[in-house]
Amino acid sequence: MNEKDDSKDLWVFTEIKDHERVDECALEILGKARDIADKLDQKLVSIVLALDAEQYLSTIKDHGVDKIIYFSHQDLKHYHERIFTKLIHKLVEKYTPSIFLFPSTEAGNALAARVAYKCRTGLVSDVLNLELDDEYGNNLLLTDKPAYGGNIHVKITCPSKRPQMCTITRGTFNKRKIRKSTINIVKEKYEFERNELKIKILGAPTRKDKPSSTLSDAEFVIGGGQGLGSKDNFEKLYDLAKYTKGKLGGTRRPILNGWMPEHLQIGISGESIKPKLYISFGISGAIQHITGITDSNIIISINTDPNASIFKTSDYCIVADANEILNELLEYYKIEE
Amino acid sequence: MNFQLTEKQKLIRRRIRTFSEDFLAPVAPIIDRELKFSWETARELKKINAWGIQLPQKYGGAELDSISYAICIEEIARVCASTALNVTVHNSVGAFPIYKWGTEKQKEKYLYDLASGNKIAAFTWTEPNAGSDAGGIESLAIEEDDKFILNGSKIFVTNGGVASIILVGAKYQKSDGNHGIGTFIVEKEMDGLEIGDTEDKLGMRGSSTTSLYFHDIEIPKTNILGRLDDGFKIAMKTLNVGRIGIAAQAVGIAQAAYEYSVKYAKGRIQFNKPISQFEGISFKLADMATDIDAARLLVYKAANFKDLNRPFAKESAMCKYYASKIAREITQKAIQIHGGYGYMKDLPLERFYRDSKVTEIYEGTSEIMKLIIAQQILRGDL
Amino acid sequence: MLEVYVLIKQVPKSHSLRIDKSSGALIRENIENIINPDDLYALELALTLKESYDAHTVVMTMGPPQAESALREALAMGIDDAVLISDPQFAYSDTLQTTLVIKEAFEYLKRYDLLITGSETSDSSTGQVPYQLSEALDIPLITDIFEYKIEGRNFYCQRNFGHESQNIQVELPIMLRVRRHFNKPRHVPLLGIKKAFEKKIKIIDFNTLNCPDYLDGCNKSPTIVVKTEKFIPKRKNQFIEGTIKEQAEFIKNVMKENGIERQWTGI
Repeated sequence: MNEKDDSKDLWVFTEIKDHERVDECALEILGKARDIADKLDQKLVSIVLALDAEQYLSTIKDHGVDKIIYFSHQDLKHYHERIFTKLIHKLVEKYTPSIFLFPSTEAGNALAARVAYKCRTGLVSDVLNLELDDEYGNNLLLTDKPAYGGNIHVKITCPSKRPQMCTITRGTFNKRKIRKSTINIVKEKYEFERNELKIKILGAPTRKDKPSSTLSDAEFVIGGGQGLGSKDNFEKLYDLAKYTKGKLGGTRRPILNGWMPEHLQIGISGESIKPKLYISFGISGAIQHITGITDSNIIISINTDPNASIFKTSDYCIVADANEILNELLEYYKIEE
Repeated sequence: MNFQLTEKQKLIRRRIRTFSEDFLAPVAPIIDRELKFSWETARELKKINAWGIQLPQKYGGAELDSISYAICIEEIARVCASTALNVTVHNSVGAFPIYKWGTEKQKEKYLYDLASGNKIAAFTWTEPNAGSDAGGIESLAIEEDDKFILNGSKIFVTNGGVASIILVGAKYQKSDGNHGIGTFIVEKEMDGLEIGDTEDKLGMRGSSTTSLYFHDIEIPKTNILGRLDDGFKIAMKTLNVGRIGIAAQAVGIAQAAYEYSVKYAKGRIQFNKPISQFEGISFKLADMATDIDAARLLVYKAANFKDLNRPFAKESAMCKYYASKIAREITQKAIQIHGGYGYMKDLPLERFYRDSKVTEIYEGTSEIMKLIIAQQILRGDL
Repeated sequence: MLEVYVLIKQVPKSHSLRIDKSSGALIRENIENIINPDDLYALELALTLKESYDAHTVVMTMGPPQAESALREALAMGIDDAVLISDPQFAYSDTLQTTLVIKEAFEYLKRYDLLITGSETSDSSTGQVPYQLSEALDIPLITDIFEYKIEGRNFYCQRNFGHESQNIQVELPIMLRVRRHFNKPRHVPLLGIKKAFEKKIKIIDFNTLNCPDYLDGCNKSPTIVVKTEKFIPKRKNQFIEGTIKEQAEFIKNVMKENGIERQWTGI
């Protein structure tokens, strides 16, 4: 258990994805963390665990870090709960960081939860904003997190335990290219007894790509509404979805019209989505639908009515006939078969 | 007095609602359009004990109280009135009389299959010349040694085409009025039972309504329900129970129409505001909400009286009369609120409207309900 | 006999949520509470296990007394017994405190072979407790499983791990986290509901556990919720003017930035 007075510096778990690249979200977090580190006058430290970790350091150096602490070992080719948790926990005990940020990925969330438990500190997951606040303590990290399916936001702090930990959703912050004049590189010694592993892997693992995603965990979703006007028009959405490997969904109306099956409904009585990008075609934006799309990272909406309520929930608003835009896009994405 | 449902009843409402929305919502418009009883739905209903809601656990029933029963029927009807009809007729006028008046042997023989839904039950009384005048039935069962020979016909039999066990009211001797009538348990396999074509009807089209014809059916004496001359009494008492189910069904239909109306009125913008902000609409909604609440309370009161073993003929008639009336009115108002959309088959409002009408007719017309209520209230001193 | 525990949480049904405009707090009266939707898959797995193995299934939750209704619902599905961890002292526990209390509860209960959880809760969506409990009890957490079988004290399964599919063997006790749509949760029979209300629910409170005082959730949770507010989505609301072609071009660029490309399927 770290007490706050001993702790300093801001850490970012810089995840290596598929043993080939630095996770984008981790780089985005470094961008925001640089700001906070400057305000606190503390160091920004990147934590890397990988096979041949050296190959990723130059990319990380370009994103504003003061220091990189890394482990490089063949056991670190993939995320492993026991190995990663143990190494990182030891690291936290050794250096006592004040803040520790993780990308909200499968591994990032799991690791953060385990490390937070080991350190008996608090963890806030899927944070949408970070700021420093003095109301509840000096320079406390104040996190903003959605709850209840995004209907409610809560602000959470961790006043007395260290590190203050959170995981951050992709697309929340922007990457920044900055290179510090001095960057301190520290290689830590890999130490782990393999007999501590409890899970036995039988036979050789096979590579498996994720099964095709459902609406609720699709990365790109196309939504259709009454504004498309006819079944024929609506069916063009299926084509766009096919050519872009997107997932199609919609409001209640197209189901009632018989344009779309029931299970593709997005909203209160259907699925909630959280894609990187959601494009709505001819959807007016009844609250029943809005509730299901608020977790989308970026929303583009196309509607003929400039006062359509969907625009209030959109990043990019396009006042146009959804069919015309759809035809333009299809022309570009269409693949001759 | 306590107007709260118990935790158990709340859970029943929520789970039956979930079940109905999952399984019944997709088939409701189809069976309505195609005039079809859905055996697939019947199988799903078996999994949740819907065919034996109040029968004792020893026969495989769920042994629930009558308010829980009303909740089940209401929630099913809210999504698919036809299915609610099939279920309530089976439970309340098919299985119930066998449980109430059957011998131990009859119960052993029939109730397991009925509670599980392996067999579906029907209850028949109405004939071409006997409707509200229940005593006018002409089907005749003549005693012959250890059996009765049944001849005659019945019309408008709910579950007629799907039932395996049919309770038939028939005269065992030529007599006037309500006397000389017995209740006979007819099994589908018996020789001489002929099932008429499925009737084409205004509503409840997912329910099988047929005529039945009896040609010299040999009914063993062990298949008489209750005492031989109990027929009229059994029918009247059974219908008192049945009417609670029909009233619950009407409440469910009204509830569905009301929910659609509220959602639509809040979302439909005319003259730059939701139409729910116009009194022409909001007052309609207020009337609907009030009527539904009143009807539901009447249903629960009748159900509660039944469980307390108090007389409930009046309460049962009142709840059926009132709930069926407001269901017809509310489904009509719901179409009015939806305007042209309500008239289209895209939305289920017109189905609700069609389905609601018959609740004022079957298991005793509203006129007969008023007759029963009047008899009851004029019987004693004020 | 296998002791199978399913860990569930009672959550408000999302569309019945309202916020008090003056205080910004969640209005807790008259909200409909349900079993966290993801937990239904965990319950279904336990019921399926019971059909193939000699297993005793227990549903467990930590929450206020009214969380009992979630347990009743799980019993109605067919779970054998229920445990409610409830005490005013546990109120306002964050995930770490929750983990510590559940850990104490399992140390008190002693026997457990399988702990099953859903993937995340719809109210707080943290998904942290399974990982933390796995650390706390020092038992492996297996996620994203497909085929499985149990032989003696060994659990065999196929699981997705990163981008690999692995066949693994692990000794009980373990935790399993079930992903969404892993199975089809069964409908609740009416008889199940009736019987569920005839069962006795085991209550575990602060005194039962003989807790160390660090388990006082209100005072000892490391994180505190400072503010709750109704979410008004902050969106750019940027109108894209221009011809249809220009507008479509804009969309294409956003798609590209998000890694959405033309997908060549055939040829």
